[in-house]
Amino acid sequence: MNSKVKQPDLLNEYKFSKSELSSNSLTKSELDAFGDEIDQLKKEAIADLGQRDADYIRSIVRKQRYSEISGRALIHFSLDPISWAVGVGLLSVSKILENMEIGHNVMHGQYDWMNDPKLYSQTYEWDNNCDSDSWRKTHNYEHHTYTNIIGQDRDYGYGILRLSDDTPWKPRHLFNFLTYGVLSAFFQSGVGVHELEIEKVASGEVSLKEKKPMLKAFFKKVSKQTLKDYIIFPLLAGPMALKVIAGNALANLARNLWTSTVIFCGHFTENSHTFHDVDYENETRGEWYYRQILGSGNFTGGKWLHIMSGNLSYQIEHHMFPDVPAHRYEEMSPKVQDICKKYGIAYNTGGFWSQYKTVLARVARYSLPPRKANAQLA
Amino acid sequence: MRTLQAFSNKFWQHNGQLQNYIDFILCEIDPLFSRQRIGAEVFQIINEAENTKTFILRPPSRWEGFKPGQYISVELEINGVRMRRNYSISSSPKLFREKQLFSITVKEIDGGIVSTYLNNGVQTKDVVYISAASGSFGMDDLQSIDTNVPLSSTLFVAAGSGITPIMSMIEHIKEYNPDTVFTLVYYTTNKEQQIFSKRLNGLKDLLPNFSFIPHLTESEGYITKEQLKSDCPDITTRNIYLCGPQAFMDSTKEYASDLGVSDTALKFESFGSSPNTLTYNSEKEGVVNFTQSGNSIQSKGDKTLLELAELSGLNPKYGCRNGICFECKCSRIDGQVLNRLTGELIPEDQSQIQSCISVPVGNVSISDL
Repeated sequence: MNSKVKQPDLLNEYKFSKSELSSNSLTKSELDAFGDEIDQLKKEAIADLGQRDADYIRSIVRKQRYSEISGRALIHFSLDPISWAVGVGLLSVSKILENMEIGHNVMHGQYDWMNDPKLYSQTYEWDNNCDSDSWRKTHNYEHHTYTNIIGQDRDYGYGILRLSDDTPWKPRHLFNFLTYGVLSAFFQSGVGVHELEIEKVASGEVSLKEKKPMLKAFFKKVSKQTLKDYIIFPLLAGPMALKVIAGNALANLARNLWTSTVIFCGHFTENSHTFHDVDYENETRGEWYYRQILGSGNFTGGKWLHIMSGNLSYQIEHHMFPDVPAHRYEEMSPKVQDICKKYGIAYNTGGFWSQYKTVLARVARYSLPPRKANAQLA
Repeated sequence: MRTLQAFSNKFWQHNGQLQNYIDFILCEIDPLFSRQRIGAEVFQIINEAENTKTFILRPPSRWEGFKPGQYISVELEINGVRMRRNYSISSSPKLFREKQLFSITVKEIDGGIVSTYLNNGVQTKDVVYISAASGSFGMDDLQSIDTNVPLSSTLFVAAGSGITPIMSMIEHIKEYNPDTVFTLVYYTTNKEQQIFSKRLNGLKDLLPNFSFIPHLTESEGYITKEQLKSDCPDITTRNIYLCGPQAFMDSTKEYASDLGVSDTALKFESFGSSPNTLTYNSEKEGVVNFTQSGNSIQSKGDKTLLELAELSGLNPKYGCRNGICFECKCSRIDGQVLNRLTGELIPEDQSQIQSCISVPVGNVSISDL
């Protein structure tokens, strides 16, 4: 089976392969049994959905709207820097809640069962530069199906970062850290142009013409967002327009930095594995769950850290159950951990800072070419 | 003032973020202020008969009213899920005109989630969400409100909760055309199940030209041609309004036709019964592909696209589940479907179809589920 793995020269840091999966760790029947137990857990959660979940998401929507309305009002009418800063904070919180706990999760179809047109996955449009239809395709389909499969899951490095030795080193990767900073600051537009597959357009693999409808949708969305945050609301403030532009820009920046941080903690911590096409071929349900666990990482923290992360702090559970309301992951997580323990499967979790440090370390480490000595040792 | 109204209507026709936020604030003040949905307050609940309650509702002033015989869809949130069902209006237009109130009367159906919830979980002051009134079961000559001229003689035939739209028409006759000659033949299993019996008996004493003939199937058996003839000997001269369970309506229509009633003299409404009894199957097997999700499922030709999508693990959007509201529409790429309510094929060039009433005939592909 190893012979089927592509790019063998890049495997020096490649810790995991399907052959390893079946020979070293779990037998096929064990993986099947593991898959059944996880399926059962999901079934129980779905059967239990009801008023509690509806009340939860509506209460988050209510908090988000109050914080947006009061945030924008403070930015507009503040007479001193402190109340203006509070306004910016509230607007940032609103944008983060809307993008993470509401938008991202609603678009996964987590609340479709409620039959509420305002919380329906296929028609929801979120408050950022990424067109929702494009997101549903690149994120819900590509990223969630091919999680951490190099070459398929373009979330792994977003085509511009080098995060493992699966990506051949080039001199531009020396600026990995800088690229990461810029990507984070403009994260909403980064995910907005994700579907463009810029690296494939650059290499000529895909023509720009093919991407025209996508670009059109992207620019339409960007114009709408820009009109709202940088023209209409500032104009409403008349002579105080500048402080509104600044406030809105800061809130968008805060949201960008935070969402990018949460997402990087989800898949690029030290213990997150990468995979290749071979791992996906003929994958069973159990193997799929297994790959999702190995490719994702959680972080721990207080209630509001989880809510502000859209519960993507439970990235492992999210990847196993993307269509189960995310606030349920908290109660599912101990059960998942028990099942993992039973089958000897590593469950990657840790405090927020300790996980984030390993992400930064990864970004730094892979800015440099692979070290030959290390490869030999491995 | 009129231009302001027109502007407001135009504004609320859009479903943008601005509208969502304004509606959110309005609803935070009072859910009845909503402009995106029509909230109606439960004003009073009346125990009408066994497992049957009448809900008197107070709609907002922008609700446009109804004609006797029409129905509304009622949306409720039950255990977090929004569900919608159609109910006939059972009150008189006068009540609405004078007090801005109207009523629906709901019989609890075994296993019926919405009817059970309405009968057991709803209290006065609760808010339910309603649609504009629709349906054409009303009497055509009801326009003569102020003239007091009797309407042409009429026969109402009802069974079970099929009495509800007819009650509204009878109340209308009482209020505006009391000299009209009309008969009500009303079938129920037993006396306990008789809805509006007090009101109907009271009307019988009040209106000399009204004959009320109740039948109890438990002791008398189902409707027969002879019974229909003896209840209304001049049946061929009457306008007939029929409402009840499908099997009941089928036999009544057959008997009426045997007695010489022309098709145009008879109008019927099937909302008084479970809509599930009135369905057609395609009986042709095939595979249904939902290309957006990649799900596919075997169809035996006895389930709708909506039911199949749900069985395959999807959660598509829906509203009435009865072919009315178009909330469930989806895009067909390929394959034939038939309309469950009429049994007719939906034309092949029609790509937008209602999944709740479309039954696949063989293989079908849907692009947006």
